[in-house]
Amino acid sequence: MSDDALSDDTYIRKFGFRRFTGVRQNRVYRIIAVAWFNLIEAIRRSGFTKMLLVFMFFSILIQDVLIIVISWFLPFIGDPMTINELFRDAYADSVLGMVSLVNRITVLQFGFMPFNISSVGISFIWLLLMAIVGGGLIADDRLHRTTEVYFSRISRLEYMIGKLMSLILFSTVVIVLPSIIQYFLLSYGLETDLLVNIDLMFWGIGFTLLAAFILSLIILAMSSFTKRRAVATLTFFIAAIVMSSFYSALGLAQSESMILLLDFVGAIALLGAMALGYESLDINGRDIFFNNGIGVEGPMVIAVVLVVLVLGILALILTLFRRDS
Amino acid sequence: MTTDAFKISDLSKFYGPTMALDKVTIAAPKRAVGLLGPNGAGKTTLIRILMGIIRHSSGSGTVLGYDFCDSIQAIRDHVGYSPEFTPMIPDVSAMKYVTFMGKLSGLASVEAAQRAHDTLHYVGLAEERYRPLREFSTGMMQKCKLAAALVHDPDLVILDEPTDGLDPTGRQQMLDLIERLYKDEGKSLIVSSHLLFDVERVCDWVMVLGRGQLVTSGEMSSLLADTSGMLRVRITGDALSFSRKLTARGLEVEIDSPFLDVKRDNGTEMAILEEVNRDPNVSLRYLGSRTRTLEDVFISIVEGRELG
Repeated sequence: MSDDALSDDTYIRKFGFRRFTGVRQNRVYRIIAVAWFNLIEAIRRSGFTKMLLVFMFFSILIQDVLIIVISWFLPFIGDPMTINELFRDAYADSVLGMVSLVNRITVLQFGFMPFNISSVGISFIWLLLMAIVGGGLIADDRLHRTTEVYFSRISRLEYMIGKLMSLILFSTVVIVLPSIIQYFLLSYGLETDLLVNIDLMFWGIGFTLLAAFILSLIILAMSSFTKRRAVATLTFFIAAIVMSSFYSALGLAQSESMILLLDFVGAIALLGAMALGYESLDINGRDIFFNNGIGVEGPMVIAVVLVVLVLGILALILTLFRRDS
Repeated sequence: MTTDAFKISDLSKFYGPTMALDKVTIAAPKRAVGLLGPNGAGKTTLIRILMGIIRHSSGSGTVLGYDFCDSIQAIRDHVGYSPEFTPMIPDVSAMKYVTFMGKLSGLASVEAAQRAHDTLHYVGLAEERYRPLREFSTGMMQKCKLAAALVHDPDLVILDEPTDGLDPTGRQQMLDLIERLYKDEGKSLIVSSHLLFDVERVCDWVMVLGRGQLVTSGEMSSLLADTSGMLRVRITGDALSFSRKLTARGLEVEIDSPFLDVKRDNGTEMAILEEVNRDPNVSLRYLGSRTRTLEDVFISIVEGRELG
C-alpha cells in the first residue's frame, strides 16, 4: 500500500489491519512462549502461590544463615572428617532434603545438627507449589477449551513440551536456584574452596533438575486426566504424601523393607545420592545399604525412578495425543 | 500460487463407528466461502481436519496449496481460526491473549504486541483491550476471537459460527467486519454457520454439507438463481382481481402475497404492463425475475434430500 493511500485512511484503518512482512520465529520460540506465558500466569493469578514462594525463599535463607552462624560458634573438630568432607556431606544432605518428603533421607553420618536442619520443610512447600501451579496447566485448558486454540497454532508435542518447560522453569526458581545459592553460602560459611567442590554444584543442579522433570511430568499427567485443577492438585499432593508415608506408617521404618520404594519422590533422592557415589544412606535414623543384597538395592531404585518416568510420559501421551479428544 | 483455499479428495472421518465425513471431494476457491449444513453435518469436523486439530480417517487434501499431512505447521501459520465455542483464559486481558496467540503463530514479542493492538482496534475492542476476558460479553468475546484469528495476518480466515449468540447489533457489526476483511483486506474466508442470512450476506461461494456428505457447492449467485422461469410482480391495488385478469389472458399465475408469480413466456412482460396500464387503480411496484433466498435453497436441497 502506498503512502498516499495510507494518508487517506480512516481512523480504523490507521490503527487497524496491516500486512505482516516480518519473519516468523522458529518452533523453539513458540515452545518458550507457551512455557513463559503459562509460568507467569500461573504465579500471577494465585496469591497463595506468591505467598508460599516468599515463605520458601525466606525459609531457605534463614536456614542457611543459621548454619553459617552456628558453625562460627561451634568450632569444627577435624576428627574423623575433614572440613571438605563435611561440606560435601552437608551440601548433599541439604539438596537431598529438598526432594525427600516424609522419610528423612540424609547422608550425614554423625548427625551434625546445624547441617541436619537445612532444607527441612522445603520439599513440602516445593511439592505444594508444584501441585498448585501444575494442577491447572492442562486441566484449565481443557475446562475452558483453550487446547483447541493451542492445537490450531502449534503441535501437541510443542504444547506438551511448553507446559512441561513452564513447570521445570518454575522448579528452577524454587529448588535449582536455591541449591546453587546454598552451595555458595555453605562454602562461604565453612570456608572451603569453591572450585574444589564444583562437581558437587553441578550434581546439585542435575539432581534438582531431574527431580523437577519427573515430578513435573507426573503433575502434568494428572492435570491432563481432568478438567478440574483442584482434583489434579490434591490428587498429586495427597498421593505423594501417602506414598511417602507408607514406609513409616507401616512400622517398617527400622528395616530395609522395599515398601520404601513406594515413596517415589524419595526414590529420586535415593537415586541422587547413588549418583554422588554414596553406597549407604541414613533413612529415618537407620542405615540403608544399596549393595548388601538385602531389601532396597541400587538397581531397584533406578527401576522405580524409570517406571515413574515412563508412566508419566505414557499417561501424558495417552491423554494429550488422543487426537480426537 | 494455488487458487484454492482448500482442496480435499475422498476425505472421510470416523469417530469410532460414527461417520462424520463420508468421502467428501471438493475444491473451494480463495473467496468468501460459506460452509453450510444442519447440526451434525460435519462442518466443524471438516474445519478441525483442515487445521490439523484432528486427524482424518482417509483421503487427502491441501489448504492454500499445503498438504495437510505433510505441511500442517505451514497451514497453521497461514490460516486464522476462530472456533465455534469460546476458548478462554479468564484472568488474562484481551491484549495479553491476542499477543500470546501472535507469539504462538511465530511473531516476535514486540511485533505480536503491536499487531495485537492493531487487530483489537480493528475489531472494535480498542477501549476494552486491557480488561480481563472473564468480563467480556459474548459479542466482545466474538470480536476478541476474530482479533486472535487475525493477529498473525493469515491468508485464509476460518470462522466457525462467528455470529453465534450475538444480539442484532452485534451481529450486524460482526458481519460488517467479516465483509470488510474480504472486500477491503483481501482475505479469503470460510464462514461456517447455520444462520443462512449471515452466509448469504458475506459469502459469494457456498458448499453445503449434509450427513457428512457434500450436498452441493458453487457460486452463491447461481445457487440463488431461480430456475422456475417465473416473473415476480408486485402491484398496489387489488392483487386478486389483477391475477384473474392475467389468468384470463392465458398466463399462469401464483399468488405469493404480496407478490404475484407469473410463468414467463414470450410477451409475458408486455401482457402484464398492458394490464397495469388498463386498470387505473393498479400501479406497478416491482417486475423482475423471481429470486430465491439461501434459506429456500437450503431447505430444498438439504431437507428435500433428507426426506428423499
